[in-house]
Amino acid sequence: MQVDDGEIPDENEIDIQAGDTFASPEEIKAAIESLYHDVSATKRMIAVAALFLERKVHLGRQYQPEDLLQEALERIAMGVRKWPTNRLDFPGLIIGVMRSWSSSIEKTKSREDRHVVMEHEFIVADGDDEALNLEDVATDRSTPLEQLETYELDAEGESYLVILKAQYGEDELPAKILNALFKEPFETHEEIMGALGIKESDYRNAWKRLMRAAEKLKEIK
Amino acid sequence: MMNTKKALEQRFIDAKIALIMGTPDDELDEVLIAAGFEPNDLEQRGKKAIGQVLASLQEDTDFISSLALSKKKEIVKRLGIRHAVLAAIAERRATLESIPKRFIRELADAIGVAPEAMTQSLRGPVRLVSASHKSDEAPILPSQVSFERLLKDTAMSEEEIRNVMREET
Repeated sequence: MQVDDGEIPDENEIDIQAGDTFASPEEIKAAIESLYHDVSATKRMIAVAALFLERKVHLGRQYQPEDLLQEALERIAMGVRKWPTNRLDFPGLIIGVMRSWSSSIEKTKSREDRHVVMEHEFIVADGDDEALNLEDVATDRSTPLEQLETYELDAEGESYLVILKAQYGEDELPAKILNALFKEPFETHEEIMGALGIKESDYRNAWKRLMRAAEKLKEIK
Repeated sequence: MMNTKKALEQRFIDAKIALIMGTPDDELDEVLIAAGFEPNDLEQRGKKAIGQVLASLQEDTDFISSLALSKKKEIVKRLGIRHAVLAAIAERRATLESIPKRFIRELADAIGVAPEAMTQSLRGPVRLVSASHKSDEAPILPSQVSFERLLKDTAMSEEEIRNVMREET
């Protein structure tokens, strides 16, 4: 599956490449109808939508995974996002649209929530006599609340992955997978399997263990 | 440093997405459950979302009437037409064949829909958008006229009409 995950400055902007052939409205409608009847693909799309919303502080408050999927499909059906059939399959297109649209709206919503920051809202550590760097303040466009939310999210994300990894011995497969995953960005699961020299079934089982453990940690959090 | 932390969690999420997309159908539910999802719930939510999109595709979509007044003002200015013309287009008072393709493309672009979807929306008989009649009798629908006639009826100047009616060379 190919995914359209390029950074899109304007989410309405269509990434058109030379030689692209685009789906007609009839082909798009047929693909949506086919998705409706494909139970597995439907489950996958909603699960992916839920994962996209997981780290979206602002959007996550207002959108359910089904809203994100519906929004993406509507944008494709209306032709706001074109479908270059020579480069992307339909699930790949939907995932790309959900990713770019959710990121774009998250940024917009975070700007909407921004408010005027009073001087006393800047936290200065005791004994810190360093002058406030106004250039830094000007370039960091987040509100204190937003910075706190981002910090908490990052801190939670990091601590939960550290705890997750600590549950396994270094020679256990889940730990090896996490090490491989965090060492360098990977393109495919096949690359990790190849690097670790393991069978697909063992790899998938190890991932199931990892995800179950991660879910338990989330419950505790 | 924060970016690195962020990247790690993002990589973990991306890996879960790739795993969910790459798992064979017969093992999918097991993987979804391990990832904290309830497969039947996912199916219901997905069907609801896709069903709503399919239902809207069957509808006779009017992209113009529901626009905010500020957006309508922007479109009218951009296309060099009167408000009455935009309202008449929404009601399909002009025959589709008589509207320049360039104009349809610019209208679609201004609204943010595909030209094909805009063309589809303008195809068909007159539809009354603002009519709310209290009598028991059905309203008499106005007949369709050419786009140029419509522009003339709104007292646009010859020059304005020529500009709107021009096709790309």
